[in-house]
Amino acid sequence: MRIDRNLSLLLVIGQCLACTGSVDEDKASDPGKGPGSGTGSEPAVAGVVGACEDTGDPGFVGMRRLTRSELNHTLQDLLGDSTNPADVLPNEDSLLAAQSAVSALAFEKLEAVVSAAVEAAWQRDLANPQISSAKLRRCDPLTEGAACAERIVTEFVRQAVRRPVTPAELAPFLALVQLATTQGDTLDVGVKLAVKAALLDPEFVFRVEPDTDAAKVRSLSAHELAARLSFWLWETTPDATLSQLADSGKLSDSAVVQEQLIRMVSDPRAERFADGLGVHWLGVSSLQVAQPNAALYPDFNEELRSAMAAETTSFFRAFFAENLPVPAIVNADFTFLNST
Amino acid sequence: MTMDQVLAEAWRGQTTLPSLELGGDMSSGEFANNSGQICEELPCSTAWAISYGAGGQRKPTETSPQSAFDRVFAGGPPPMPGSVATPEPSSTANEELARLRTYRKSILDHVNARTKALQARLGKSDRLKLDGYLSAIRELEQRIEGLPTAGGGGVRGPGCQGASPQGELGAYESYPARLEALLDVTALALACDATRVVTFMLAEAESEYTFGVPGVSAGDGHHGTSHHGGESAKLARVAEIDRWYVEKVAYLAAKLNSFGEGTSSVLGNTVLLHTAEMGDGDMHSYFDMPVVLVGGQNGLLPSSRHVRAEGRPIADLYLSLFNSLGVPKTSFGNGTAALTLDA
Repeated sequence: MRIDRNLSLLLVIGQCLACTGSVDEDKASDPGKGPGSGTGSEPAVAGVVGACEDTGDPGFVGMRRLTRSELNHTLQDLLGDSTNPADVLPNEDSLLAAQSAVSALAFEKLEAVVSAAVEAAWQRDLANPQISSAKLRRCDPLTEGAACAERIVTEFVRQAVRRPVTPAELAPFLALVQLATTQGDTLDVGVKLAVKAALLDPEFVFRVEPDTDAAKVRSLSAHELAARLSFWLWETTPDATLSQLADSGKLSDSAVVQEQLIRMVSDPRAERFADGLGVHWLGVSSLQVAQPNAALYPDFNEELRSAMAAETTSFFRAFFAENLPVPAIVNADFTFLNST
Repeated sequence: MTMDQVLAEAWRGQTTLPSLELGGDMSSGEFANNSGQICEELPCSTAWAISYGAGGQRKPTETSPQSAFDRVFAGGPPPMPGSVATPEPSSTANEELARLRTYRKSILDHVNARTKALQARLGKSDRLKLDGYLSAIRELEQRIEGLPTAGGGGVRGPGCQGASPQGELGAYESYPARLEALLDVTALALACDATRVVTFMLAEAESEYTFGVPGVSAGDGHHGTSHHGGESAKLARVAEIDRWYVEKVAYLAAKLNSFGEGTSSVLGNTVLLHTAEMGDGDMHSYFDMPVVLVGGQNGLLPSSRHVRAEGRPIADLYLSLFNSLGVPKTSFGNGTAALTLDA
């Protein structure tokens, strides 16, 4: 493993992430106009580095919704759901597609996914005797009352929207808890309503860095930086460590960002970044629906289909883990084969 | 807005679903989206969807028969008058359903308010994206309002009686089987009056399906073959492929015809429009587009005729269909005068 040089590249990018972000709507509509513009932070790694050295402007990151993969990982982290529930959403996994609006069909399915995932998570937590390890039901609203309900909702909404929320913002979520009790239901029903609402919240469904002044370059908030780091390297919402560092303001310190990058790159979840490069940049997910000519490729089967995808992801994992030079993407003298 | 959505808007509220957008082969969808264009508010891939709502918002094409079935029968399978006695719903069951509906709508109201608040903090392009989110929220709210309560309302057209919609969809791993299952869902949705507007993309514009089915041997993909360059072997294959797809339309028509409705059949009360997006795929020409109208024999369409419409835009045909279907319009797109079909 020669991870040093690779890390130093990530560290440079990390510093750039920490500097400033701008919202420039002209660039959003013209993908060719500047490095890193328009296409989200992930595919613009080289552009971010270049832009930082040249202008100090990491480029516009337009609002986009979470991809299915990001939703799956995030629901796993927030609810402990390991069933990839978002797989039933329309197949629009590319980051480019994720910049389009949410269709009525996708939203209808998302509502069903969220509702079922919250109910399942609550049941899972109920079956777990260790309430301290519960993802959602961190206390029992039925015996501990309104204070517990409020605690669960407050903590969950903060996690879902990836930033601290004001009491005024929280009030409508708590009103949903109230609604259930006025309808004669118990507190747990109300808590689940508020949690479902948080998972349909535009600040959960979309990644957004709000800014109304298109002309100004502004600093990223610590929470926006935490989200950029986390979705970039782990394809998921910031974990407790990143969130706490953002809350305390420590994430504005570039030394802390470097520490976090080392921690995140050393974590197995960083493989998602390598896998995502294949999906988003090379369109490897197209393999899932490809229909090769059976007359020309009679041996093509489902096993080969998944092996072809695995070959590419294995390559990119090695490319990053072994810190290979960029030309290796086209001229590497090795590849990956399965044993059968 | 495409012509199907004009009808869907005119009939909104009369059925649980304003419209259904279904399709078989969407194999190049990922490629289409990776073509380097940024998908902003307007669709970036017209190869991938044929239905567009207000503001040009793309209606994605549903390709899973099960998922389409679940949407059509979200209120549960329809009661089967005559065959099975519909159980009298208890008032508790109705109260329970009403309460769940209140909850879903309250969540959506809340998300709607949060979305509007967020919009105020955004620049123009991001604000537009949230317009799409707001309209998706609104559409689901309307859908929930239209859902049946236990034992009341819901999907139950007269043709639904013989349609047995709670039956299995069957296995559909292969593309031809999936296509037929989707056509079955289409027929059920119309027979049960779950919707009155269905668009169905038999294949997307750059389908590379390689066949290997009765009537079309395994070989080059559809799109590649359609660029035949006048080669006779390729033209013959295109003809085989076209025949295979037209057989699917015939399959749907026969199915609709098998469901009685009043004194006619579901097909008799339905206009089935079959067309392609080009007249000559090799040249990407949209002149001389092939159009077939099927059904509507219960007073909607004249039958058994060939109409030459040289020089007329297809939107003129849509104007005459709008008239036939009771949604008259004086212009649509580049259409300005309804085409006469019974001359």
